[in-house]
Amino acid sequence: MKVPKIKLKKINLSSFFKYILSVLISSLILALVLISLPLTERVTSSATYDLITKKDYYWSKEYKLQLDTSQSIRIESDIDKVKSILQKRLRKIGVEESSLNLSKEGDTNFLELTVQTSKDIDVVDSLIKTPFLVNIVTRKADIDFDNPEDVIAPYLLENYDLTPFTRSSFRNVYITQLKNSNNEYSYFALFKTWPWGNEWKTFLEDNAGQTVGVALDEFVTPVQIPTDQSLFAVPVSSTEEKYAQAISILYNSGQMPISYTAVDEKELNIDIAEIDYIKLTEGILVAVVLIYLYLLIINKTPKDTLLLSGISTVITISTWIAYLKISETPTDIFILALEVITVVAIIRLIAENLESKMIITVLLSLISSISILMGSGYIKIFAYDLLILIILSNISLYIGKYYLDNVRKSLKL
Amino acid sequence: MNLFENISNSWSKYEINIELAYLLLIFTVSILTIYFSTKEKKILILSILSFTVATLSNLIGIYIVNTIFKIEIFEIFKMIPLITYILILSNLGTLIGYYISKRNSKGFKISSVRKEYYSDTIKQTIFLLLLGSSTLLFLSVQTEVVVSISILSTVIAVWSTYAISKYILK
Repeated sequence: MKVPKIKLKKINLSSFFKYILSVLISSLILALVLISLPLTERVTSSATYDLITKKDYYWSKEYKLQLDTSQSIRIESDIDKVKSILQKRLRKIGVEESSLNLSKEGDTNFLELTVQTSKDIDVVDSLIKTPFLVNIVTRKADIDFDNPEDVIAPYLLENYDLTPFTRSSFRNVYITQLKNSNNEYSYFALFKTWPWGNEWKTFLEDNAGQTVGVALDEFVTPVQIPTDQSLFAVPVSSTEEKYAQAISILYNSGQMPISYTAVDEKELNIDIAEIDYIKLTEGILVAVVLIYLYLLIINKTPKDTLLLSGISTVITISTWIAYLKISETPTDIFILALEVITVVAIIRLIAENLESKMIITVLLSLISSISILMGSGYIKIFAYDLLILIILSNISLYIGKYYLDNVRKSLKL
Repeated sequence: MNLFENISNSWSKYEINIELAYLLLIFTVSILTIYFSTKEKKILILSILSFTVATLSNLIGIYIVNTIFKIEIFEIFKMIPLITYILILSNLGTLIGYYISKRNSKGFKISSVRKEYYSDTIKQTIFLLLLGSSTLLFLSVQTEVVVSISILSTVIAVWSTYAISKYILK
């Protein structure tokens, strides 16, 4: 018996996979748009995602610092240095807003420092209230540090002689975790000297095997110098990473020329450019749709360019907001608004001038990187997000082009 | 927290220096990148002029808002130069991109860049003005001001650049 031959029609696998990919991309875009839209988490009870605004994290305080200028020769210069160090500390921790005001009551100078931030209140408190005057000290010969009736003797500055070494004598103080005497990891401050710092080398040699001290303001931490003088490691009182970071900032923002005391602090009402997230999302959506419709009607831009620009914008913005929602990243809504407006304008320009994509990307990435390194407060947040958005918008342009080409081919347009 | 008051009374040398260094570094890096990618002094001069006009427009804008409209200047206003420079560089990027892609073509004249730049600038202006005005309804006053000054400064700078290009790109 003759077996009938079954004729299989040749299937174009490449087209098939492209078709499947187009369907997947469509689903992905739709899912991202749905996630990024406000209140869509109410559609299903299985997912709990909504944009977390930073509004609830903000707090504001005014600190009054009394400056001790009694030993100061150049008062103005010393006060300026105190201001600089405080600003450096706040900048390093990422405080969003701060301002300093100098006032005088009689002969006493006061600094009024106002902050408004979403950063940890305890960390910011310690950065502001602690002058953190670092001095290396040696034990006074006539004090009995092993007296069981005077257990606090090793910690009092009055029991020590000052040496010429202060924080300024060191290049850097590096905070890291090392094993302590109990064989457990804890934080230590490693003092790094300048390559030409021979005086410090001599000091370590002279005091090898002995206990000296590191005075932080009025409190001394005893430190035993190893016999091989290999390491000068000062134990850090904190075991938590955030406080270790604060101590690193305190060590590495400069040595205060004068001491001060926090005499007063009061809580203030927060004052931020808050926007209703739901209204904003709806507004931007309506604005973008209307602008693209207008551009379509006036017919000044090729439809393909408008389509590419529009789809890339949708992919970029919805991916970004969906990421913020899913990762539960606390967000400043007014910064998000500025980011969206900037990115919508950039994508529109790149899509219209694809030959300029490289140079625009390079220029904007450079600007963002500089702003991350040198900017402060909101600029840093904006620049960091913008750098991600620039990369995202370039990827979206590729995906958008590939997707539109595939859809066109699949639908034989 | 008035920014102007802060600068005159309370900013330390450190803060003034770091802010100036930051803006200067953005300017220098952008200008050097533009020069090394085009090797064309005419485009370099246009870019410098564009940045200068944008910076002046920013300052005038903030001054007007502060003195005439009595709007307090907040930390968020520090973002105005950054957003303006981003928009300016995007605009200059189209000019540079076109120049780089066409400079080796047969019969290329630098004056043709101006024609293309006009077309891109008019489209960017329409888009920015539409985008700015349509989002104003949904923003807070401070954010509105930041967006308005940034967009207006960009528009003034790009059209000044276009007007000056008549004498430079020939």
